[in-house]
Amino acid sequence: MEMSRSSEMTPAEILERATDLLNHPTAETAGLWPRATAVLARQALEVGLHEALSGKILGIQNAPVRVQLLCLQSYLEDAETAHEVSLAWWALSRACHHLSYELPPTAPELEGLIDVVRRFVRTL
Amino acid sequence: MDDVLESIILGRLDADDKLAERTRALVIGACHGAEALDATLEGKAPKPSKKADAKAPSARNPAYIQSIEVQGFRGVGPPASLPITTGPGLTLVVGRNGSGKSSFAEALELLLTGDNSRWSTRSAIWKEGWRNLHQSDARIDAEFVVEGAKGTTVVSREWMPDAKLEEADTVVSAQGSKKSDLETMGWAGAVEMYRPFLSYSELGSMLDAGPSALYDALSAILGLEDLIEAEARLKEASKQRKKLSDEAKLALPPILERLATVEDDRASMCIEALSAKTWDLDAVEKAVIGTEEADREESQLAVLRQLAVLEAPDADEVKTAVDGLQAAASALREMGGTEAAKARQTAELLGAALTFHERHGDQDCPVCGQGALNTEWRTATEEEIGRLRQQAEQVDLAHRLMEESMKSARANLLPVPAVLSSASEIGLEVEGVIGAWKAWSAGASIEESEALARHLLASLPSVVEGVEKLKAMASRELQRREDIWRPIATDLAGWLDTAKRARSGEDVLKDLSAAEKWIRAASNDIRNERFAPIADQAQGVWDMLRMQSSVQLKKIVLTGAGSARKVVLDVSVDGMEGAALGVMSQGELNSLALSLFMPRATLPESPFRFVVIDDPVQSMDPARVDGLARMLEETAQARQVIVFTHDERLARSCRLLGIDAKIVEVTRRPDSVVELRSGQDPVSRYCNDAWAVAKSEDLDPAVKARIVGVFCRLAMEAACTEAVTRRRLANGEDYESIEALLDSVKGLAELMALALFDDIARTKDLTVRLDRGIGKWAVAAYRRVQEAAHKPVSQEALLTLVKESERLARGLVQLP
Repeated sequence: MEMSRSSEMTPAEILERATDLLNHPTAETAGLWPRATAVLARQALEVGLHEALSGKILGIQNAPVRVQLLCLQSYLEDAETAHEVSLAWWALSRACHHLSYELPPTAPELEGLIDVVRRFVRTL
Repeated sequence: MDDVLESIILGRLDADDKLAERTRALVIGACHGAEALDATLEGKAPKPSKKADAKAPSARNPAYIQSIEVQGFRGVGPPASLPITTGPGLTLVVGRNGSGKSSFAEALELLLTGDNSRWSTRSAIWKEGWRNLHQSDARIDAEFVVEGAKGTTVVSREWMPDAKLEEADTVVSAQGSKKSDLETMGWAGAVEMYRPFLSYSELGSMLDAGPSALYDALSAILGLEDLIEAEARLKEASKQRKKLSDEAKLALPPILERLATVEDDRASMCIEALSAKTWDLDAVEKAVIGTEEADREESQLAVLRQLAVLEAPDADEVKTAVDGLQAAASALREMGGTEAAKARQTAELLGAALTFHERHGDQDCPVCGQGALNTEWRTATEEEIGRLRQQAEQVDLAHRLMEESMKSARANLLPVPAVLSSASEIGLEVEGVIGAWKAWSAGASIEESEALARHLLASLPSVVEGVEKLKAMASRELQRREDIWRPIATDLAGWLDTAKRARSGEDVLKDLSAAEKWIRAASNDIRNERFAPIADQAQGVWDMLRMQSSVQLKKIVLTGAGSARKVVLDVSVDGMEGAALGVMSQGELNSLALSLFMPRATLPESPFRFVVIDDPVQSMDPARVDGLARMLEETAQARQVIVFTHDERLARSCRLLGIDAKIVEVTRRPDSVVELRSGQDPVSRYCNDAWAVAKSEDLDPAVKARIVGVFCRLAMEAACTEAVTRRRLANGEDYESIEALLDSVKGLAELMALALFDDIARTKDLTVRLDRGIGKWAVAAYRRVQEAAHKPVSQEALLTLVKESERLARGLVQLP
């Protein structure tokens, strides 16, 4: 498997890994793939967010993601996509945290969230 | 009917010596099925019913599930197998809705219930959409361990590619025996009776379905369906007969009205026969069929019928008589007044003279003295005697002929028929004919033959004419009446058929309702006997489930019969008696339903040592989940309890209450690839996931670097959550407030502060506490995890991060 510097991956590349994880069952990832997929999708979103805003606002990369998402809504022409991205991030974030009894998202839910992120990443 | 029930019924019948013989026969007939009842009603001895319930010896042998393997069914695409620890114990199958977990529950239920009515009432969408879209081969296999049977018993159902849900056979294969089916195995009936499948949503709806439906479902446990069916059969039989009676009664008034409009003896006779309290159907039948004997002597119809065939004196016969008279008269005339007596006496006198001559010889005639008695004389005299005798006979004959002729002529002169006098009462014109006839018969007194002959010839035409006219009139009247009567008779015949059948039905009606009453009473007694222990158990279950609910279930009674049957749930709320179910929340209702149905699923008579509960945690408040967990734990002492649940609340309750439960996690990938893995407590699970990622050979290192940190953080979050929850529960706090507190936490720092200091605000003290309390490595692990959720972890640090995170998480989870 090709070794790549993870920090240098593009949002699309990260998202591709998320999709792989979702669609290609392996014994090793059985059961853990829903959260793992969510983590990768969220990172793709966050890296994309960073790319979208870094040229526009000084020092934005250090701001919390919540703030960045708010900024995205004012900088992205397509307000609807910005809103969707925001919701997707919250949904993905829930999967990245332990909640007392909630189970991780299902495959169709993840597919939906990945779709949102993919559309966002394509606008970059 | 099953043997146990049948022997109870027969025993009760024997003990009841007041029961009429036919009622008794009807009870037995009804118990043996519709055909047997019909036979009994027809007075035949019912055929001995075949024992459908001849159970395989293994029918009552306890059975546990070992695995359920599903393929191409509902949410499951490629084959997936759910292993279940054999023997008593609790298994939780945890998965999101849509993960395919319920497909296993449904698959098992379908497998064992076959083409049960439950599936036929399912929606068309369900029935048509049961196949998995991603897998054309569909099959279900469940492995059971049956006590007393070698190895495992596998129950399978496999569908051909285009087969419908119901178009497949369920095959049972057990080691060392031929392939068979559920029926043969004795499970088909047992599944119906004990229903070890409890779908929570369906249970809840049981309470909404109305008191009768609940009654039926609960009393179904008691195995009294056969009795209920028998009762229903009797009821139906009564109903049919009553209906027939009513039909006959209802149809009668218009018929009577119509009869009243008809001037016909038969009509009045029918009215009389049908106005009595008990209809005289035989009389009506005679009137309808129109048999002669039905006509009473004096009836108008009888008169008319007689008149219609009335015979006038026969003209030919009269002519013959007249000829006879005339012939006799002319014969007499020819005799010319010869007297037979004189001729005969003369012959005798001459005979005496011959005798005299014979004895005394020739001589002069001693009488006249002139003639001589000699041979010549003798010859002439002998001739004369012959002639005289012949003459006398001819005269006698002519006289006899005249006598006969007179007699037969008079024979035609019959008196006026009696029916003619009745005819005037009907209003027929008969005076003329009676007069003619009287004149005719008056001829009987005529002594002289010529006069009699003249009378006969003269009087006959008017009699014949009068009679013919009268006959025609009578026939016309008969026809007129018949034209009016026939349609009524046809209708009457139709009614009569109904009435006769109603009559024969009415005869048994009393016995039928006696039999129905008897069976109902028997059912009630047996029901209450059988239900008492179940009611106790249900109350026990409810007491565990209700937890903080103020609703107390005091008594459960099955009462009433027919459409008034119901389950009385004697419920008190906050000590208030007689509260209605309406005051209960949906969660409480579902729990109540579970309380009611759990006992039947776990009855000792059931061969199924397993009970499957689908999604019981819906709309349950957390306290009740604890109650559920405890109830399940208790049930799991003696039963294999398999619970399908869509979140981790039940698993958490079990964990926090120290209840031993096997957990199977179900996830479903795209294309319906369903994965199952054994579950653990969250901290172990996240740590194991983190290790799996770190050590994975399949995953791209870049991916590993990006995701491993999140699993490490999840482990710490879970550890803190667990520690906080446990501590606060121990302090008497409830789940709701603990969850509210945890929801308000932002980030790992606050969560850890809550776990370590029980104070969300003391995030600044974390590193010092970790450093002093645990060690420098803990601070490092905490920091790395904080970053790692967003930043990739370097390959070198990967394993260390997982190792230290696990150590920290396992430390945190044990915080007091």
